[in-house]
Amino acid sequence: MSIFSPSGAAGAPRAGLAERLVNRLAGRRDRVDPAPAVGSPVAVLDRGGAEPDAELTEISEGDARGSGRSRRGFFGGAALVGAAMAVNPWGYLVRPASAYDAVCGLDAECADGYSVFCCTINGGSNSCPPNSFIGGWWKADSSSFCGGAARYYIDCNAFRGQNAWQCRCNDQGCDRRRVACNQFRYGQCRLDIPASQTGPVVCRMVSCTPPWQQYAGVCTSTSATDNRTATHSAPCNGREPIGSFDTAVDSGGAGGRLGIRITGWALDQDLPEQEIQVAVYLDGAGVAWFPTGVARPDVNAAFGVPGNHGFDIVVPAAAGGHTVTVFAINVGGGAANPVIGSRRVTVTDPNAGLPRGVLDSVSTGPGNTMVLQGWAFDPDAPGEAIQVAVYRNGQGEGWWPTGVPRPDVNAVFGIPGQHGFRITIPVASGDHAVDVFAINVGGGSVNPVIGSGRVRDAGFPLGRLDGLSATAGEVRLSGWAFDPDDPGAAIHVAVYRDGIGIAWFPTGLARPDVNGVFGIPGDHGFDIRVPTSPGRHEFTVFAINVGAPGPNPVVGSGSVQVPG
Amino acid sequence: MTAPMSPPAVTPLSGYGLGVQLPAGWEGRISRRPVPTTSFTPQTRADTGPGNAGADGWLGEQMLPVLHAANFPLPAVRGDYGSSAVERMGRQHIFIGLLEFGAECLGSALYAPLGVPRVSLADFHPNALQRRLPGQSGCQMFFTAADRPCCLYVVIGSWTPPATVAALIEQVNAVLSGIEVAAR
Amino acid sequence: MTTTLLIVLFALVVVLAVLVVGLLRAYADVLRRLHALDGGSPGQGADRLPVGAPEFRMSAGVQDLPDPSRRAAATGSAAATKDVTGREAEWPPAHDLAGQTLGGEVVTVRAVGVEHDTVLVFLSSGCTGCASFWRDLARSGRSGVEALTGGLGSARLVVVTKGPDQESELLLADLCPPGIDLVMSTQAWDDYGVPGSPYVLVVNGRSGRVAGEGSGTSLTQVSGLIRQSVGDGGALGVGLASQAVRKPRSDTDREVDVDRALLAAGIGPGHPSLYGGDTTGPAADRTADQPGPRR
Repeated sequence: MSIFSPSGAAGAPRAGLAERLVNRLAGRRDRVDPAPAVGSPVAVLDRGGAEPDAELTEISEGDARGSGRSRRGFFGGAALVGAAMAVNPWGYLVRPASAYDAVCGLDAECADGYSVFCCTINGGSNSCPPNSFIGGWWKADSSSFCGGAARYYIDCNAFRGQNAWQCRCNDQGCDRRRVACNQFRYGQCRLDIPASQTGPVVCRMVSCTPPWQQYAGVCTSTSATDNRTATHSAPCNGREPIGSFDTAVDSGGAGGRLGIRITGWALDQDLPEQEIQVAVYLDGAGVAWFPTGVARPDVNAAFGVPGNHGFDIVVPAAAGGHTVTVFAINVGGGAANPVIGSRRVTVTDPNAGLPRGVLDSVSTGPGNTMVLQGWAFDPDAPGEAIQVAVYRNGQGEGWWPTGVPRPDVNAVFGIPGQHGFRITIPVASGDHAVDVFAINVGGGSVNPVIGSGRVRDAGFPLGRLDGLSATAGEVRLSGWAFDPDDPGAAIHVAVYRDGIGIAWFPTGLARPDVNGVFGIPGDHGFDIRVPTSPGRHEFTVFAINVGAPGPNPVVGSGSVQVPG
Repeated sequence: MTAPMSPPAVTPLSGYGLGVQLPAGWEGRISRRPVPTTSFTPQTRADTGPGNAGADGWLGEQMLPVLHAANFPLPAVRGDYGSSAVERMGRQHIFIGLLEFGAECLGSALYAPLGVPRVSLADFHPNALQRRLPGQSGCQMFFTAADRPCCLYVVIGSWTPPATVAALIEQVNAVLSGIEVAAR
Repeated sequence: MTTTLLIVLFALVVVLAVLVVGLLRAYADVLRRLHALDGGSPGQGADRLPVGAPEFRMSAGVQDLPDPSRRAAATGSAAATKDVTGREAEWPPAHDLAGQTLGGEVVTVRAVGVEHDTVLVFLSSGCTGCASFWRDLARSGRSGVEALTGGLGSARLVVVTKGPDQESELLLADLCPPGIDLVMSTQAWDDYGVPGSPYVLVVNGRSGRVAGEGSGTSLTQVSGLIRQSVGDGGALGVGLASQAVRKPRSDTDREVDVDRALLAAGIGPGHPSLYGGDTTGPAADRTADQPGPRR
């Protein structure tokens, strides 16, 4: 349950006057309710010119309702103030009270038993000091320091036996916690360092970025939670990330998907060399976190920092207008994941208005034919039949109209008409590649491909009767034949004379010309002499099928006069 | 006249692959926090560039079982290492936490010791605590049992005199002897 | 000069007025709290006991000593005992709880053989009479247990519902305030023979027996009665959600050690030797006639 109270100022608000007085007299630290930080994903402060999104501000309003400040509490507190003033008025009034103190949160004294923050003892740097290593981490959920998400605390442990650190209480500022005292380790990081070499916790770092991401290769992702530490902090954990949301444009349907391409840069001044993450919102809804990592030498030069701090992201988006907002995710202390920009973009579907369709199937048909089935229509004239163009092996075969009922297509797209097609095309035996185009009848000049396929019209022998001649008492037949089902093998041809079968004769003569045309091996020629009585006779030659069951096609026929 | 009831000698408790035999006067809780379901996923570095689609949820955060046992009432809301419970401890009280870690920790130097450990007086110290509280002492050990990397964290409510601490440690070892870690 | 003086005087008057109002409101809070502890006015509001629900009753032998000064005056004679129900009852044995929480945590909660008392509040997501109990638990936006600490002494409060097979975890998650210890356990309902909800049981941790049971219109109403059934052991047991320390921990522990030694010797609450009285004669006879916990 959130204890946020709305605040537009960075940092946490102080406890009420009376409450602070009572706390001081009781020797307790002020109890503060941290506010959602400026620019956090739950409190939008736009820097890019777009209007704050209502959905994102709802959380702040809800938090305001649960803030707990009431008139009754004021009067009750006033009574306590009166009593306190009667006991020690001068002491309270003269003791210097800095709003700075409230930033340290609960349990900020050494006696409270917790460890100090690294920036307090490490020259302001939210990093492990020398002679220490990252020993582990835990998180506090729903932290106001991270816009309502988890805040991560990463311990820096000393090396046991080095004696580089001595247990002490920090006595500067409000972070008066323990330094190198607590012999404890959370255990997700630097697994190569055993317990026997682990010393006490020197200090702790903070981050809004999960440690297994920020310290990839050093820390693993087994989670440990201690929500009591949610308010713990220190004044030096303070700088917010900076960045720029440079451009947001329609991606133009690159990769076949509509989207918005966004570019820019972001870095955290607490750890300027670190390549941080940015969180992208689309129309008020979170999309994802994306890492920086694109080279931006201009940023490096301007800020004097190393690393690649640019981002170049395509966010999926439907056609229409959208608002894109980008937040930079804090990796140091700080109190916010600030907005670095918000832009308005319109996405256009480049395929809007073009014909649509699908080539459902390509198959062999009876005889040497190929059958194509599918559907197509043009959204510009959804009830009308259109035409589809068929190309086979790169050559145009022709245009055919749609007109076959396809109630399934009508139901899906909510359109009338008959948009199916079934096309039968005679083809020779062999492999065939087909492409089918839907012909545009409306706006635009593109006739898109709706499908491609391949079919192999195999199974029927091929051949030709090249020569038919007669001499006295004999007819000579020559030619070639082969079966694509076994292109290298010799087959038989059957000879009929005047409608009566004479015999089967094998191929087997070399015909390199046939091999070259069809790209096949083997000897597929025949040269047959058939004794025949004088007179005119009709001869027919059939190629005998050796593959899948099918006809034995005629490869040639003719009439010849046999001399007496 | 109503005679007082004798409490049961030992009560078993098991869940999420962990089990413990709780002696009389001890209670326990075994939990596994739900995986966060926020709308963001920190992308891996390899995904940088145009065309990233993003995904949902905290990518990779592992929520693993945690066992707590104590001879005092455990509050409903506690930190994984006993915060909000240890603050309630008296001199005779004991808190035991057993936390599982991810499989990527297997075989590492930190989790090299095998089997559920036993503790001794020498393992305890007032500074060996997640949060030092007056009068308390703690002990922490990392180990692997049944191919599951684990951490044992024990807090006792006394540091002196040695006889008191020794008696408490005896109770700790009695509980540890009844802990079972099931194979994955 | 005069103007400055007038301004200062005016400011002083305003401050004093604010202080007076604050004190008056604090006094009103105290009065309201006392009134609630007394169970409220009859016929106040529309709350009624659930139909068929038994009124809360306490175990025999409980010392009725709401005023600490009365307890001091009782030295020298056997402390008066009172059976609120007017009958000698054989209070049933208590049971530990085993179940799970709304978050899926498997738990064992000890109520038997412990130093503290346990208040078990049996509720459900669907009973109309439970609404006031859920409301009391969520009072003032803080843990309802803290608001009731004054009424419950230092006993432990656990809400018990039936198991996930008979209860809606989603509805319970909406009803149960954060921080409240809730255990889902149909077995607990069976063990205690709970007739229905809402229902409250007080378990004496040391004796391991039920020390009070029944129902009421609200938890606030019952808490006053519960406080009387939480005996000396409860006052010395482990505290509830409140972090305030009434006395140094070492003193508390020392008292626990003393009590343990006395009980081991067979000297329980009400033993005449504790009050310096004659162990023979009328005082002893009166003690012998009065039912109460014996070892």
